[in-house]
Amino acid sequence: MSEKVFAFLLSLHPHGFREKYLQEAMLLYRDRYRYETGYIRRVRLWCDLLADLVTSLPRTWQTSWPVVAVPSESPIAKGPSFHLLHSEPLRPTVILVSGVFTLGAACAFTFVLNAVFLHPIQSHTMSPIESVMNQVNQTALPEVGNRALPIDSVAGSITSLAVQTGAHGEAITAGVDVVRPHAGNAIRKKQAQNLPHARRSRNAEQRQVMLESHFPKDRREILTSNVGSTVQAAKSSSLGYGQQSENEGLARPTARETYVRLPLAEVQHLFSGDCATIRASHEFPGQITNAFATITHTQPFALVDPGAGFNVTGRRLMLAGRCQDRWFIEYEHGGAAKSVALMVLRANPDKSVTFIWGRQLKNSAGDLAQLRAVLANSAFWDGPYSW
Amino acid sequence: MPRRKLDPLPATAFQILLALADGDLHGYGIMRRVEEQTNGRTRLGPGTLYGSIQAILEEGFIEEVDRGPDQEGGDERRRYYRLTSSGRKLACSEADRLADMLRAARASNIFRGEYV
Repeated sequence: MSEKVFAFLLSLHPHGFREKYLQEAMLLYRDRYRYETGYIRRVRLWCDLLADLVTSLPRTWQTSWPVVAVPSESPIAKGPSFHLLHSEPLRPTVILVSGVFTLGAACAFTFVLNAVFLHPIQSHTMSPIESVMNQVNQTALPEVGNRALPIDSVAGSITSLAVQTGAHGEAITAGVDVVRPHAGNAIRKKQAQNLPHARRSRNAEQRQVMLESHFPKDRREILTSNVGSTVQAAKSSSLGYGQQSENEGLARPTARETYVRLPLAEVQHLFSGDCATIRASHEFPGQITNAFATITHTQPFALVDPGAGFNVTGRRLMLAGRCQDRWFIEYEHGGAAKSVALMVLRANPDKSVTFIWGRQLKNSAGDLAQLRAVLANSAFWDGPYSW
Repeated sequence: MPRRKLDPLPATAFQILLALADGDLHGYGIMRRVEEQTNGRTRLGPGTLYGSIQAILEEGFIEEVDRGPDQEGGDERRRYYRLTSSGRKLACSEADRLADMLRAARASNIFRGEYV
């Protein structure tokens, strides 16, 4: 085995060198292998061989191995003479030029591959997917409170589509995936790759398979619709909770969808002004209980009061309150290995509720002053939380 | 005028010339002799050894000799090398050059104790 490895190392040398000294080098190796026994000597032998390879390889390639001229033994006088050239060494300039050409060819190949297969050249006629994307982009931004929040900062950016087309190429169903603004790069990258795959597929059945495989079932029910409602669903996927009775189609949000990043000053501002605290869950208005039940995936609403035993949902109220139109709920979650979560919701005039911000707290707060201190000290885990 | 490969003479080539000064040797023999000459500090690998031998051969300082199995220590699979007269002269001149350098080093008092 070791002899094969050594033969492989020798094969890295120029042909002329191998032709002349391969057999002798193998004999030398066998001699050394025979006489240098024991673990340490064998290790030293291989260290020597590897070091020798590193130092001698460039030199043997630079050495001008003799051009072996073999004249033909033609009996014809003044006839043509043929010479065979064996293993002429590579000159540095040849290596440099060939390296540049190889690099250029690799770049050209990559460019062509990228242009043809991954990002097809756009034609003037919009594909069904592009028409959906165009409509999505031209739709007005959602209104939250008195200011318009860009879809990228609240609802996420739409990066991938899967479309089923009709007989004439029109888009009849569409799936839109919304990437949350602060999702991990790996997730964002993976989802961004869906689009070129969907665009490459020219088979309706394949596109449907993609649609089913790329989007979770609960979101697919919402997002798979005609084009118009797809846009609407995409806009309101993380906004407008609390209207389940009127719109059963609203998707339950995932932990990633309820991960909204706000500056610390803005988080503190959520709890500014006159705030009133409550300590019993029955004091919540209906829209807040509906929103809480939707976000926590518990139907019906179940949040036991402070001091009571945990119920089957494992959620117990610690502190809640209202600051103008904003409601905050701090609750214990999980029973024995419990965590403390804080959720802030906005009650809109149209009876809908908007999820504004929420985190898992490092320290629990018993009153509003403690809660403000916890937030001021950033004593919360910055990441998605499964409510 | 093309530059000669052995000008200046590399240390490896000089060691090989010295190893062959006492008689014909094959590759492994040269390696062992060089190791003895340098008190084990230099163990020539196949690439270095045969690369240097090839360079010295091209310059005519050593030559290959036939040594059949019937001769003492002969092995028909191995190539034996012999120092030529020009190789011996080159080794002498290189040794003189090194001796001059050693004298200069002594004169500069860079040595300490009983090293030299």
